[in-house]
Amino acid sequence: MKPSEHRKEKQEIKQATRKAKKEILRFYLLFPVFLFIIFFVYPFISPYFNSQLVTISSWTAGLLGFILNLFGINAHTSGPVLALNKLSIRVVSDCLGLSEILILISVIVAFPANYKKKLLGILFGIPVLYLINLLRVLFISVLGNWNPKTFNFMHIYFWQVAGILIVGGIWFFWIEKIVKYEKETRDIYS
Amino acid sequence: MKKKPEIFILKVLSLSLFLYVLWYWRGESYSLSVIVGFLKHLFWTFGMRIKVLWYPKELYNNIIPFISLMLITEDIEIGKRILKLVIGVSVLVGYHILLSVVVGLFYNDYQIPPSALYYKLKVPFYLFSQTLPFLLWAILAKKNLLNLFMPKKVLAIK
Repeated sequence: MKPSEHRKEKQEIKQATRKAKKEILRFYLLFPVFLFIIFFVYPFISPYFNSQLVTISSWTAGLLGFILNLFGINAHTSGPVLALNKLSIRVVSDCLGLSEILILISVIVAFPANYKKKLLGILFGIPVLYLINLLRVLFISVLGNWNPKTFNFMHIYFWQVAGILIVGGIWFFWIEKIVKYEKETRDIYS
Repeated sequence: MKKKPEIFILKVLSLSLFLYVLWYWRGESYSLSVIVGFLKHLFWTFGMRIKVLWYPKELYNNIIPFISLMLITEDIEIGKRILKLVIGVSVLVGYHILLSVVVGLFYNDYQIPPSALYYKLKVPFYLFSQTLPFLLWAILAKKNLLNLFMPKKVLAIK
């Protein structure tokens, strides 16, 4: 490599690092602001969507009951309530992964990318989070039916971390596969 | 982050599961006794007579994900790692105490918990408490996150 090329590369890295540092600072500022706005708005507007949330919860409980019966586990549903032999649970809005969805929206909106990519991330992330939550409720219901103590541990303690880490995973995936691709093309064609 | 994010997440999850078992077994009761003791002392020092001390204990366990994230993150010197752990845990404990003081005072003065407003406000605080350790980690492990904000082309040269 010629010295001039090496110098050019070094300068490019320096510029990119400086830009990334600015973007990360902007992210640190915007992410908590969006979180706060969404978190404080959500409880006040959620009562207006209560009937829709109950409907989705009932569908989810029905789907869970169907899957459990498919695997030979005796389960009955009545509205949003899922009853197994030793355990009965009510599927509420939190079981649908709403809090994780709100965190994902905040983290995607705060990241420097164009609106199309952000929308794509949100539209891709919501069904993925819903499916993962479905698996989670399925898993902890079976576990709770076997041992109710483990239900509390997994539900109250462990899942809180797992949920956000999965949000982090979807966010990393979105950056690597969608945003970085956008950055590449933008850099080449600009 | 040099390695694949999914491996990092799996490692953090495994360590968190182990730490949560310890927390569930002993850690929670110890930390509760320390925080409750401190709060009683604090209220007593300021001459406040608290009839029933009500505290949001379900929000105290967010220390675990922060510790796991800091321990699993690569390329941090041992001294810096300890310092960052101390800073993060202190911020989280400070947040727990502040939250407990607010909740304790509200409960005693206004009997807030049974009201609809309390449940409305509980949701954002709960969500914020869940997210805070990750936010702290993102700030304290800034260098490790910087690559996410760099274009692939530049990372390839680096």
